[in-house]
Amino acid sequence: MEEARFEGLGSTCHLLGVGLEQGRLSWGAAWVAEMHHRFSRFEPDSEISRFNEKAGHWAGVTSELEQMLRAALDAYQLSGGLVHAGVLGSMLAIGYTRSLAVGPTAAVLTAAAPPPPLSQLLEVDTGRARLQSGFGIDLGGIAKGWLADRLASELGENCLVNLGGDLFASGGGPDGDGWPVGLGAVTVLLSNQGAATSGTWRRAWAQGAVRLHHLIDPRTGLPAVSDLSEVSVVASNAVDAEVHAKAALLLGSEKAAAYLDVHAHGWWLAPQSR
Amino acid sequence: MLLKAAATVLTLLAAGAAAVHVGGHLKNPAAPLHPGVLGTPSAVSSPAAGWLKLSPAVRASDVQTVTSTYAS
Repeated sequence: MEEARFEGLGSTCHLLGVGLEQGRLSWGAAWVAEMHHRFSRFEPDSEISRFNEKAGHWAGVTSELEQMLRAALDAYQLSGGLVHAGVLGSMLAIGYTRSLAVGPTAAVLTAAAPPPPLSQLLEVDTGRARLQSGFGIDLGGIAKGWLADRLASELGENCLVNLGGDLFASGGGPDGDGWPVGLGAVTVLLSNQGAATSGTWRRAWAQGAVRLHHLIDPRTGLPAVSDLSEVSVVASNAVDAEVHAKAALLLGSEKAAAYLDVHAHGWWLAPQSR
Repeated sequence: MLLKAAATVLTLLAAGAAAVHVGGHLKNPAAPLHPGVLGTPSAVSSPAAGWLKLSPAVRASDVQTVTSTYAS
C-alpha cells in the first residue's frame, strides 16, 4: 500500500492506494494543490473569489465550479436549509477573514445576519452562475467533500482520499474487507463510502469572553450553538457525509439521531461536554 | 458507657437503613440512554463519550486505522 500526506485546502490531506504507484499519489497531491488555488476564498485570484466579486451579475464558471455550486444548492435542499454556502458574510463578521493559520481578525458580530434561502441567492446555469449582490459563497466543507469524491474516482478502484477529514474510500482496502477508518471512538470498515466529521471544537477561537467557531448556523447567522460537540457520519459519498454531519450538529441531539437514521449509513454523536 | 452503646446502636441502625435504601435504588441497565432522543437504544452503543449507530452497510473493526475523519 502506498500513501502520501501533505498540507492542502487549509488542512492535512492523506491519500492511500493499493496497487497504485507513488507517482500517481504525487499527481493527486498536485491536483489538490491546484484545486486549493482555484477554489479557496483566501486566494484573491481564485475562481470563487472572482465569482464572489461579480455578485449581482451573471459570471462565466468552469465545469468544476459549476458542479460545486450545484452541490451547494443540493446540500441546501438535502439539509432542509441548514447547510448554507451563502454565509460568507457571517464568516467575515466573526473574524474568519483569512486562514486560521494566520489567525482570525476582530469580530463584529452585529454584522452577522441570517442569509435568505440559498435558492434565492444563487442561480446556476450551464457554464454560468449569478449570485445576489451583497452576498458571498464559501464552499468550505462542500468543496472538500466534492473534491475527495472526484479525486477518488480518478485515482483508481482501491484507494482512499482524505481531504482534511472529508474522505471517500473506494474498493476493498489493503485486506479486501474495507478501509479501516477512525470514526469517533471506533474503527469502521468502509468500502465505496464517504465519511466526514463536523465539530465546533476545531477552527475555534476566543475573542474576549466570547467563544467563536467556523460553523455558522444560517438560522441565526452566528456560530452554531449545539449540545453536540461533534458529529461523524458515513454516507454514500464524502460530500453527503459532510452535509449530513453538519446538519445533524446544527439540529442538536434531540433531532440528530432521527435525521441521521434516514440519511446516513452510520453515525457518531459526541456531546458538548467532551 | 451507656452513651457509647447508644451511639454504636444508632450508627449501626443508620448504616443498615442506608444499605436498604441504596439496595432499593440500583441502576436500571434497561434505562434509556441520555439524551433520550436516541430513539432506538438497542441499536445504539456508547463506547466512549458519545453515541454510535451503524447500519449493516458499515462494520466496526479492531483493525488499526489507516486514517480518520479528524484529519484537520
